[in-house]
Amino acid sequence: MQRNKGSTCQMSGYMMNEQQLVRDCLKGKAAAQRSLYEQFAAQMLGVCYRYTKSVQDAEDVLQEGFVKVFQYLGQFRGEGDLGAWIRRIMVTTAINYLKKNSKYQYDLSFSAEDKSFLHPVSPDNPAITLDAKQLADLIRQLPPGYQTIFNLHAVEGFSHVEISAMLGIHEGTSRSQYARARSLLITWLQKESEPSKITRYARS
Amino acid sequence: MPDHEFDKALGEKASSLLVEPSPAVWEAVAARLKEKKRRRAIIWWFSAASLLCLSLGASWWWESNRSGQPTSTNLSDAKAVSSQAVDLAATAEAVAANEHTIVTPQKNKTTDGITAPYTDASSDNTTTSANSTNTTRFKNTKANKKEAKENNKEVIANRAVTANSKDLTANKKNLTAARKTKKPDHLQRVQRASNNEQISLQQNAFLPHDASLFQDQAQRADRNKQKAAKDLTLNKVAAPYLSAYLFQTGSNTPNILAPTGKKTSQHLLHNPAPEVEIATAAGSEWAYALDLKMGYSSLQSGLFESFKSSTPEYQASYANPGANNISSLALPSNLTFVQRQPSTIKAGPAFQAQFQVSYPVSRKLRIGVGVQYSYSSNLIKFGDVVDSSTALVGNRFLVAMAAPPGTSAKNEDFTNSFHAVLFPVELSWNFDRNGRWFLNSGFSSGVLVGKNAFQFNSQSGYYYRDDKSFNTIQTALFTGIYYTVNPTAGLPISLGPVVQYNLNNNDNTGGNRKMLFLGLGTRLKLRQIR
Repeated sequence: MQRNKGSTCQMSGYMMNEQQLVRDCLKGKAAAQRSLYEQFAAQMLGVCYRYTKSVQDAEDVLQEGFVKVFQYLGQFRGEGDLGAWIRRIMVTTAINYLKKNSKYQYDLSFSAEDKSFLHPVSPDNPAITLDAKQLADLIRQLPPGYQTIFNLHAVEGFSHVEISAMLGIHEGTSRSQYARARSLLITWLQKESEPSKITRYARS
Repeated sequence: MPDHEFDKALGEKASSLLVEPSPAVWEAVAARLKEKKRRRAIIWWFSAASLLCLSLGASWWWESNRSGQPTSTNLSDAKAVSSQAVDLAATAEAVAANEHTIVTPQKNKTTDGITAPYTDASSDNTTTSANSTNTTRFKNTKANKKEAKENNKEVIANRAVTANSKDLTANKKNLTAARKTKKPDHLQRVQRASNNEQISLQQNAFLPHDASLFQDQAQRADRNKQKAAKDLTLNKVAAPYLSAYLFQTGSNTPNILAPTGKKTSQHLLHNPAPEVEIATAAGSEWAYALDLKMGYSSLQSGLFESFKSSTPEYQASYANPGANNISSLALPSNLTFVQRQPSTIKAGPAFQAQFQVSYPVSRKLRIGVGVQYSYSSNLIKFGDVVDSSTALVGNRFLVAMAAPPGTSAKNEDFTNSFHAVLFPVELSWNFDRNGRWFLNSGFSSGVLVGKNAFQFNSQSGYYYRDDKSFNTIQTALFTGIYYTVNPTAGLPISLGPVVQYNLNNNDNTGGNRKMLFLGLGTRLKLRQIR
């Protein structure tokens, strides 16, 4: 979702463009802060949702992320897209959250030797008939390591070099993990369409 | 579908996800923003308060280190600090009597090392005040009280003479009368000096009666010089002289030297922030803490006094004529004195280390007791000007500075050091909601366990060593404002400005100088009660 610089928003009765909104947030105006939050909260929770395994964790990341947004808003130059800037903060916050949270620790071992999640690669890419929520739920079923790298590369657009730097892993590891995540998703997407056939077969 | 298109479609689909958060998320974010804002304000206030305290401390330190010009005064000290003040009063009296209003700052070098900076371009008839100078000069010395009384009688006699005569002849008579009076040698010398000076004043110009003192000091200095070699230490020269003249310290042998003048990342939504109980919570247990305070200490006549004027003691005597039989003299009612403390005593480094246990009295208040080692010091410099006195008579301003006799040990620094063990009783009041700000005040008493210090005899302007003259029992009031940096940590650290003021005098020689400590305190709470 691309937003134009200076775009107008109206939330909580607070109507102004982004630049004015940022200025008011920097002044500490609570109404402006709330307006900014309401403008981006749903989108950013969608980001956080894809990186975590539960809504609770996602909302924790969202909370932490918005605190950082307001804390470092002074560093936003106003040149780029505010949404993209906030999204970057959310992604970084989510990764830090995964690193700190013990229940994600074990599965975040990005070992290239780990063969436990190897899946056969499907020769054909299936059509994506799922909506965003269903697709996100599929992504969240990936092992945390796969999930993170898939989100970073396929959704956020980071290169494997950048991902390796962010996660502290080897570039090759990022590539292989992404490939496995992708094949696993394709397999699951194919299976998503199969149950309906099976159901139909069962009914017939 | 090609791989890249499939990946692109997958990414766009996934990124378009919108999930509405629960209202509690914003509440948690708002609460944390508010907390950060409040903390930022506290930090600013704390910084401003620290800056203010540092400024006050620096100005105080600078004031106490400043020398060569009048700074803080205390007329209760004046009695002991300066006999010059009395001389100046006599000068003022004489000036008033002769209705001279112009004071000409003309420096008169009377004798080597002794200077009377200002002289009045007037007149005559100074005998009475000169003699009263002699009276007052020695009245604080028990050994000389009797002699002072005799001298007083002579003063009255001289006044009678002076009243009838304004010329040189009268002074000569007076001088003769003084010579006839049976007095100890040193008093005769002083008297002679005064009278001689009066004669010379009449021949030249008016010299404040302070000059008699200077003359006296000059004579003493000359006598010392005659007795001693140039580089002979003053200890050898002045000890017997001073012990007879000035000191009643009770010391065995006074050693006399010449002066010279976390980020709280509580997840409010799903992991509600734990309620932090501070160490002062009611019903909790004993808490232990280590304190370290560092700063400067100095002898103070009064807290933050810069100037103080007062009516001198003898002026009150004039107001009550029956007591001293000196009713015939009129003294200006607007006569006041401004006098500074000995210029040579400066602030020195000090620190205190303390172990303390405390127990909660209420939810916000704890009472604690502890044991404290205290080191305090002040710096003295042998060889500076002893002191100065200033007399104000109406719009006339007179000032005199005196350098003491003695030639040795000039410009040598010495640190008076005091070691004490104190037992403080402290009330610690937490006055904010988060257990960060504490006002710690209390009372401490203990004993002086060690010292390496010189005493200052302000009458003569000499430093001398007499360990017995220091007060062994020390009592003090202290207070400080502490800010706890990490109240939820295992070992919370607090710090803030502290001040401690001794209730008793540093010594028992009759002065009124008390030790003042200003510094920065740090407290490490060894056990945080939850």
